[in-house]
Amino acid sequence: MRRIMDGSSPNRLEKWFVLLCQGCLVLFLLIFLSFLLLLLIMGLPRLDWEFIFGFQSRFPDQSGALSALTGTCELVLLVLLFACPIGIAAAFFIQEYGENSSSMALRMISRFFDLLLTSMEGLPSVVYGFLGLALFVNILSMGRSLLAAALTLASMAVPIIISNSRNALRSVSREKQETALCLGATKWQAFKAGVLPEALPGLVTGTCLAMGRVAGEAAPLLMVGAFSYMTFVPDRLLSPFAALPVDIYNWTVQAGGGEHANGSAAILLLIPILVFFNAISVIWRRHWEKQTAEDKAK
Amino acid sequence: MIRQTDSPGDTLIGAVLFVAALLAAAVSLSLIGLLAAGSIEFFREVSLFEFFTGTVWNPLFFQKQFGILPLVTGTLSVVIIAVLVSVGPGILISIYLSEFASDSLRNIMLTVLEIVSGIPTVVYGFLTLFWATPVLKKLVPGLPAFSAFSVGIMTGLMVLPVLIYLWEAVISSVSDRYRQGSLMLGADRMQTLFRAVLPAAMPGLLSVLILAIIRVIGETMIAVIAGGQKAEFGFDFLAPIQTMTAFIIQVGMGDFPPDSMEYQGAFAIAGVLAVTTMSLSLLSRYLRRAFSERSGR
Repeated sequence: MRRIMDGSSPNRLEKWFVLLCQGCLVLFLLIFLSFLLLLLIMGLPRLDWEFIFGFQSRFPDQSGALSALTGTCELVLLVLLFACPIGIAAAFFIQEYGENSSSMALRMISRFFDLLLTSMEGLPSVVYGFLGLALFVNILSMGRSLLAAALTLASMAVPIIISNSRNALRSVSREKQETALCLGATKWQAFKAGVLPEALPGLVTGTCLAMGRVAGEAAPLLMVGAFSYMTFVPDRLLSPFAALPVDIYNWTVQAGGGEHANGSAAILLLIPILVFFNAISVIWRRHWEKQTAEDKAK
Repeated sequence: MIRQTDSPGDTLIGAVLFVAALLAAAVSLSLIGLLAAGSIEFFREVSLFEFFTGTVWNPLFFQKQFGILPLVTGTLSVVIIAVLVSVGPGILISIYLSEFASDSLRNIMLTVLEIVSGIPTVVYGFLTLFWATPVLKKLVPGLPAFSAFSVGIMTGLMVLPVLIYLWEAVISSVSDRYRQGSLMLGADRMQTLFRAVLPAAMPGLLSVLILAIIRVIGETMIAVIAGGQKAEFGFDFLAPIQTMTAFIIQVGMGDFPPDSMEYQGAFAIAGVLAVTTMSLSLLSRYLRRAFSERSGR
């Protein structure tokens, strides 16, 4: 009994209720465990160096995921480059400058940005993909290129990064900032000294989570036109590209055991990349929480 | 709220941050503008009435028909099944983690949920074909390879971790004053849970549920891989479906020229999806605000 505590022993209704909850939890864990087991059984035999460092082939048992793997890594780096500075700076503006600005106009603008970006966050990824196809591929004639895909994913990542960063800024205590302001620091100095250090883990976590979500997206890349059969590594911004989620899709919908094994091997390759982003954020946050708890105890 | 006159350096930094925010907003606005322009182009050819009341969706053939209702029932079938699958277990597990589980179990589970929420939808699509459909075929004899049923169930499993994680946060953040007050008035723990804690959490719970529904509506890959891409009007859960998102993928992969009716039809569908999800986002945000005011944080 963690939260509702009164020391009395549970009555019959409560015993049954808790049992039901535990049953659901066990079922939930079993289902996700069986997912993992299925993927391992199907994919593990196929997951060797040849698969990781090989190119696509006509024969499924000789196919590899190298172009897709590098494509996904390049996309993540490009999206970080495009979306991270803009997203975090925009969050700083809305949260720190806009909302408590002394000018009415600035407050209104920031309120509008807030509404706009909140609603953009819910837009389905396939709609971003379609708009990316219309804007970057067709209107700006970048073609079915790495750059067009990265810009599409970046425009999807920006609202997520903004909302995560604002949450990080919101959860920081403001005492140090206020002290600094009282001592005559400028707004930016007070922010840098009093808010930024404490908000930093949240900012990193928020960005990592956004990257993890974007890196696994297949739908926008299918829209922008990822290539399913590539025998080279995408090396220029305007070169054609492949990506792991797209390869997984293609191998899944093809008929044949070899392709399906490739699909699940590619999943086993993609998930560690995503878990990596998640793990960074989880570990850093836990570490930070512990540290601040220790600081408070001092 | 502390306000003071800015130094010149501050103004410069403020300006740089403003430009970044402006850029983010400008990209969003141009995407919305593009969506609106494309949809208007489409509605010059097809009347609004025909689009929103038509029960035949047949854009790829010679005799084109653009009635959105089959795609709407396709998406709605998935939403209904996914919500039915995920709400019950979701609320029970989050109540358990927040109110009954030990701290160590709760922390482990929150980490597991965070990691599991990161599984991309294309992986769930794969699992629908090779895990869900074979399993469900044993339970429901005569289930076709592509059906609303397996798509809905898998989509429900997909949002379940997100739902539990966020619901747990809502229930945990209900102020302890509710719990103590109720116990002091002589209620037992079950009464406290159902009559004090959950009602206080309700707006927050609903806000999260709407977020989950937004995800389900926008979910694409499961429906593309296991839905069968067949638009039929009606709620036959054991038949193949096409969702709105799956149609957009079909157009995207079909290499249609930008002035074709298929391409513009995708604009209209994307517009309908955008309006739906954006209004749901704002509703969810409103409920979340109502909750955080009520829970006194």
